[in-house]
Amino acid sequence: MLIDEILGWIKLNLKDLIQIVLFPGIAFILIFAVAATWFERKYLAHSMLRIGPLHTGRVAGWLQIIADFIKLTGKEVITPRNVNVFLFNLLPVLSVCTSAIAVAFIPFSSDWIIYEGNGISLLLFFAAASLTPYITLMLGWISNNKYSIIGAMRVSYVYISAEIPAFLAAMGVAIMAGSFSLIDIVEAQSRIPFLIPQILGFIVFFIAFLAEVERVPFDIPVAEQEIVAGWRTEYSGINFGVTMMMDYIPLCTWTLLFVTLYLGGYQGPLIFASQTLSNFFWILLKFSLVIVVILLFRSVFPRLRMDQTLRLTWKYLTPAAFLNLIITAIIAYYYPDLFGLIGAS
Amino acid sequence: MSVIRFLRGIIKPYIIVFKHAISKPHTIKYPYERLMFSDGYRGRISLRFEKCIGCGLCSRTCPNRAIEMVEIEGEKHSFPQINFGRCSFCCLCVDVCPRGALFSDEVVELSVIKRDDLIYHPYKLSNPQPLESILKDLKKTITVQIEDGRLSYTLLRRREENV
Repeated sequence: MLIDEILGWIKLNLKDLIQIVLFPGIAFILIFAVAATWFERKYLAHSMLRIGPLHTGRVAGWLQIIADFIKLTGKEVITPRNVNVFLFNLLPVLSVCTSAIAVAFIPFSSDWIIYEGNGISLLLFFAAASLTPYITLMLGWISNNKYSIIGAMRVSYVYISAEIPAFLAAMGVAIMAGSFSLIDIVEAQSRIPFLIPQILGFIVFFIAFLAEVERVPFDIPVAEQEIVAGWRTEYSGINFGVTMMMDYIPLCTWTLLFVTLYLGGYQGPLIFASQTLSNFFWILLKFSLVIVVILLFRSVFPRLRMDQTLRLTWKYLTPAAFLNLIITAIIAYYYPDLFGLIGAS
Repeated sequence: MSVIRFLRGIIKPYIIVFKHAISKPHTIKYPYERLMFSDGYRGRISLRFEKCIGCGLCSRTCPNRAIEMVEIEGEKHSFPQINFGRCSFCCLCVDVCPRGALFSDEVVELSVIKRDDLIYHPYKLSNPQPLESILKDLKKTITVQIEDGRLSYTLLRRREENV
């Protein structure tokens, strides 16, 4: 009886379950984190005219990541003296969970989204993604180590100063689409992606979200040469592996948001028989291209100093985002017909 | 103008690194690919057994005293025995040999498990192990040439080279 009830429930919620467990949900994010780690090693090696992982697994060393994972699980998990053991071991897992929540609001097709968010999914995305730095701050603080606390403070500095321009730039898009819903925003880009009318906001958002996901040139919180490994200094074994994975999950969610806001999201010509599959293809293609562009920054640019980052975000990005917002608002108020020309509402 | 210079400073290095990322890497997959050095390269020293007259000049000129003249039963004179654990590959012995019996080639894979195996008896010296049997997985060799003062690498398939 109970089994029948469970099966019935599963049958009733099959689509939601697939979404949460498989495609935009847990499996997709974990596979992305693993694949991105491998791809980054290989790609950066080639950009430095090296070869990178080669032997493990015959084809381009793809099993190296699995081998590293097994190695990390086999290592001793060291808990430092005078820390809260429960929180110290809980927080890495919690950080992965909280940073992965944000993917729930990204539409992969008009009918393939975990939670539509009652028309405010853009705001919900920012709310969910902003949970991550709190966890990181606690994680660095609880480690009882000076490098960790410095790294944690840097996380909060960089995140706050980059969050504001990113949010203001996204508001320009919301005004243009006339909605906070990410599905409406994507539908508004059916004729022309917001990259072109919102070029200023595009640049601001791109730089700001690089800072939020701690990529080079904004990897100040984990600057190896200054503060050993930043907020993850005290972690070892599998906990360290989980915190390393934490690097890639915000990258995944924020890049998906970037693609959704400015590059037309899942929009694209029909190439498969099914509209949904075609939408998946287009959003994943755009996503991969943006990832390829972002990962290469690591071997091109030097790291910005803390004061340079703050000057860039507060002195240039925030006014530019405001300017973008004001121009968009004026056009939206006085010349709403202009938006009609490019297909937006 | 400063804005243009600023943008150039961002875009130009990015393009250069991206070109590197899609071009061929400089490192080679060593046990499978190997650099072949130029003709004058001073590597492993071998002996042409029938040319040696046993004069012992090589033994006397060797700065590290790596060469010892040893008697062989049934031969009229002694032959050089080289201890590669001492050899510094200066190849003075090759230069001094009046008959051209000693010669050096481009093989540098001389590592062994026991130290005694580094002492090469004249018979072993006169039968140098070919590169293919040392590096069994070797698929490609890369020759290094100097053209117009610049190093250039040429990819050759090992099998084609043998033919």
